[in-house]
Amino acid sequence: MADLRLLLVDDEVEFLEPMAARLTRRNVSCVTAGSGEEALKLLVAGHFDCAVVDVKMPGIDGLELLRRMRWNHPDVPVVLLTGHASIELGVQGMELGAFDYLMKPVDLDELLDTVRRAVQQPTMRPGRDNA
Amino acid sequence: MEFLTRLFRRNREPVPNMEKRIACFREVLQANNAALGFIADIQETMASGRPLAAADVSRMVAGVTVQTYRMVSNLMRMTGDRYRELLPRFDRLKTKLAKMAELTPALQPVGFVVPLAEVGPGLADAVGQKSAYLGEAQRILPGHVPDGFAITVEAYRAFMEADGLASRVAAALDPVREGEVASCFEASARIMQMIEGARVPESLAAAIEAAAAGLSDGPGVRFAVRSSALQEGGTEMSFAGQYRSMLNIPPDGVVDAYRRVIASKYSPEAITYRLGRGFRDPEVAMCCCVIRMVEAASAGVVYTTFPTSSGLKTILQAVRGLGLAAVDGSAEPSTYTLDRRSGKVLDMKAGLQVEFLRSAAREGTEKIRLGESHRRIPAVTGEQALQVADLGWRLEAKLGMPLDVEWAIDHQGKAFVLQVRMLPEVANRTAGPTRSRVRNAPVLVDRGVRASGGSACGPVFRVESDLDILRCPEGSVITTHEANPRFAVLLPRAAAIVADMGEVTGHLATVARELRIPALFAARDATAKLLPGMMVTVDADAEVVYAGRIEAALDSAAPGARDVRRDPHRELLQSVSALIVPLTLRDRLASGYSPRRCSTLHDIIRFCHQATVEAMFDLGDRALRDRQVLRQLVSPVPIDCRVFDFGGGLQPRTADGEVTLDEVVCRPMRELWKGMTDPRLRWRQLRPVSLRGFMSAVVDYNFDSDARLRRMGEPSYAFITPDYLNLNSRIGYHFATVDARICEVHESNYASFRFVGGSTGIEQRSRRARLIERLLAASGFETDCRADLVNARIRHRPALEMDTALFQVGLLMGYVNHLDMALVSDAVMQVYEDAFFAGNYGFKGDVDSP
Repeated sequence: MADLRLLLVDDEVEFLEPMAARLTRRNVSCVTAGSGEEALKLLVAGHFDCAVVDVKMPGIDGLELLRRMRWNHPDVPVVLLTGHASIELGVQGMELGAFDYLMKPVDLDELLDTVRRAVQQPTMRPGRDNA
Repeated sequence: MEFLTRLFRRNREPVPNMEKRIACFREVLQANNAALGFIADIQETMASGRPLAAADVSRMVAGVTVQTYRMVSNLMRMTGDRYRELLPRFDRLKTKLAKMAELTPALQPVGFVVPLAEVGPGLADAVGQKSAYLGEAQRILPGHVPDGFAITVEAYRAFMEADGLASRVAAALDPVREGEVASCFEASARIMQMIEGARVPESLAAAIEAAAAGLSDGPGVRFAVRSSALQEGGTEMSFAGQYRSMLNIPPDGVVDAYRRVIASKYSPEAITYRLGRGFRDPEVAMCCCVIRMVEAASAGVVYTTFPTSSGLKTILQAVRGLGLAAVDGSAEPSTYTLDRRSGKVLDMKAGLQVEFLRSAAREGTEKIRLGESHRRIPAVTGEQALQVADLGWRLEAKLGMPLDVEWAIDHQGKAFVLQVRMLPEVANRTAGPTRSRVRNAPVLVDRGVRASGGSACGPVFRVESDLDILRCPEGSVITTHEANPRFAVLLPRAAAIVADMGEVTGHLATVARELRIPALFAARDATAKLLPGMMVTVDADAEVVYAGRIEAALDSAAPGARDVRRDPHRELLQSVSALIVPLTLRDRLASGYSPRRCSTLHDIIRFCHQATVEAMFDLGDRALRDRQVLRQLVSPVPIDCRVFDFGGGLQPRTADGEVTLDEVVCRPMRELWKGMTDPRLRWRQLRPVSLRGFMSAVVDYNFDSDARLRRMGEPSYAFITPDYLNLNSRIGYHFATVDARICEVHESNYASFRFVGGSTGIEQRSRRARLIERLLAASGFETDCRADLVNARIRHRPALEMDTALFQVGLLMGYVNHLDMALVSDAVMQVYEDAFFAGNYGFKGDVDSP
């Protein structure tokens, strides 16, 4: 039984699939979305502990997805993952409420550590602050 | 750290807002470690001199900035508005850094395409110099420049930004390092395929198609689509000619040709050139110049002012058919030397052309073989040469600089200018040998012209194909028949290059000069004389190749490319690091420690760390003691340690402010402290411990020299539960963090250790860090050492093994205390390493008896 349910969003299939496979081997249940639009549909349909989102995507990009998630799915923390480091986008992402901003290639342990901390972060989960 | 929150939820008496505060505290510490990791990366990168990619710089700079922001935002969350002044400080630095590091120049909003008639040098930033000059040439020489339009930087950005193309390209380029030919080829192939298959945004495609349709006067109209690459600040690189030109393109093929020209920005030779010259990929935007095709009977280049043995003259080179053969080294063009003042042809040298290039029936070009009797006939008459030269002279007079002009004469005999570029570098050269030959040295090749000066020695390697490029060993003297620009990819690794053909004005020569690689071209049968594997000395200055190594020819060799080239990535890192790395914040105890004094990211990092720790104790010293959660650890080691018990980490006892190790329940703390207090260790400085002045003292760390003034033994803090420890410790002049959990579920166990700083210079501190790294690696830790920072961790081990690991860390902390002072050489470091492994933990070497 997987202890985490993760939504992986990235338009690069060559990144997405191997990452999902590696996470699955670590007992993390992964659902992949190839675009921001697909991610939003999946978020409506199912429960996720955390979303790992690529910043640059065609259509609804990572920051736009984050913006919409903060509105519609405030209880799902978002970890941004980027192949193209940018100060502006990184800080903007954090301002929009991303839990962290990691850069590819990312160490799997580092990603998992971050995801676990994001899941436990009380401030990211309104209503559970003083649980 | 990750389950602190959860554990705290079980605390017998929840502190108001404490859970949130701890979560923020945890994130600040986490971000602090990450940010300092990036700073260590920056320091190490600057010290190492290894080749830097653009992505390396953005990764480090974006990384440290975002992590600093995480610290600031979590501190805000913890403390409300108290440190509000930090935000504008951070914003100012962030804006500056973003401006410096991301280099996105403001665009002149000119749209995707601009008619050539409206383009001039004022628009060079928007369309590239090639288009800008050609537009100007159209005004100077009415009727002699084909109609056309420029596709702008704006268009390039729109294309690259669509579908995340730019970031995919950046990712593919990331692993490429200078001199690694195979990775360069691989990345090139991937990227060119990516770009050629990419979608051109509809609005851009429509703009290009409309512009092409506007120039069509019938079904037969064809276009030439040329690159007009543009470096940051509008300067065009002399390399620009290496990019692809698409000839004879029908109107409905222009969009596709545009994409292919853009793709040529990523040919292996172009990637290599940018790496070699140190250009950052995003600095170079690819614009295009689209003009009506001129069906050339003959074509070539003219250098309006060029040094020859008889002074500055005009040199015109001509080939039959389309002009490409004149610059790609595949033909030996006819060369005219002309005198501007007298308007006369001074000299004519017929070339050798085996085949010529012409437009194919519908699209593209084809090569036609010339009959034996036509191969040595000059491509133009003297009169035609003068006619073309005159166009060049008129341009030079108006533009005020020596020019490199590509021209064509159509089948009706009319001369056209197709491309205009500045010629500053070549104009400063002198022609002919600049050095005499070495007497009695065995000469292998004595014909040829100096395409790039200098001399070098190496084994001969013959290159004719891409496979040869991949096989070519570093330091070879490359020999080749044609001076094919494709071989530019090899130049950074080559000692010298010798070509049977080729011109000093060709692209390969230009690149060789820029990289300061000696090059001898037009050396006729050099490939037949220089056999693979032969050791030879190429003296391009004397226009000769000797057998063997001839020291006399090498003594004044040109400096290597690496010595002279600009390294803008390093320059950039250097300049941004001034806003990141220095620690200017004064000691808390001295005056002036406030958000307003933070002038670097490091200052903000330090401030946040300190303020966060203080915020953890916001309830006040007494309140904490009353709640029996804060204790002073009484211990013989010179560490003033305050223990903050989240619940169950200490044995229940009455309040008197002090606790001994026996009363510590926290397992990782006990094991660590056992190591630290091992009787075999000899701690150097013992100081009395006291709880006095707790609120004014702060957790601190240093890895800079100003902190040497600070007194020893500021408090360290241990946050504990029965199975968890987070220790932020300051011992002397270094800062160590231990974060560990030991329980019976071994998957949950981990220990991470981080150590940075010292009282000596960076060299000795780094040596100590390496010693720690080695000792911990030997104990099964995963380690990572950068400059004087070492990170080590061990995970998923059974509790008993974790006990040993924590004990080892404690032992090590005692062993390396002040050791940086002793580590004056690697040999001394080895002695200390051996002593530790031999169990001689009290070993002091020569430290105590200097």
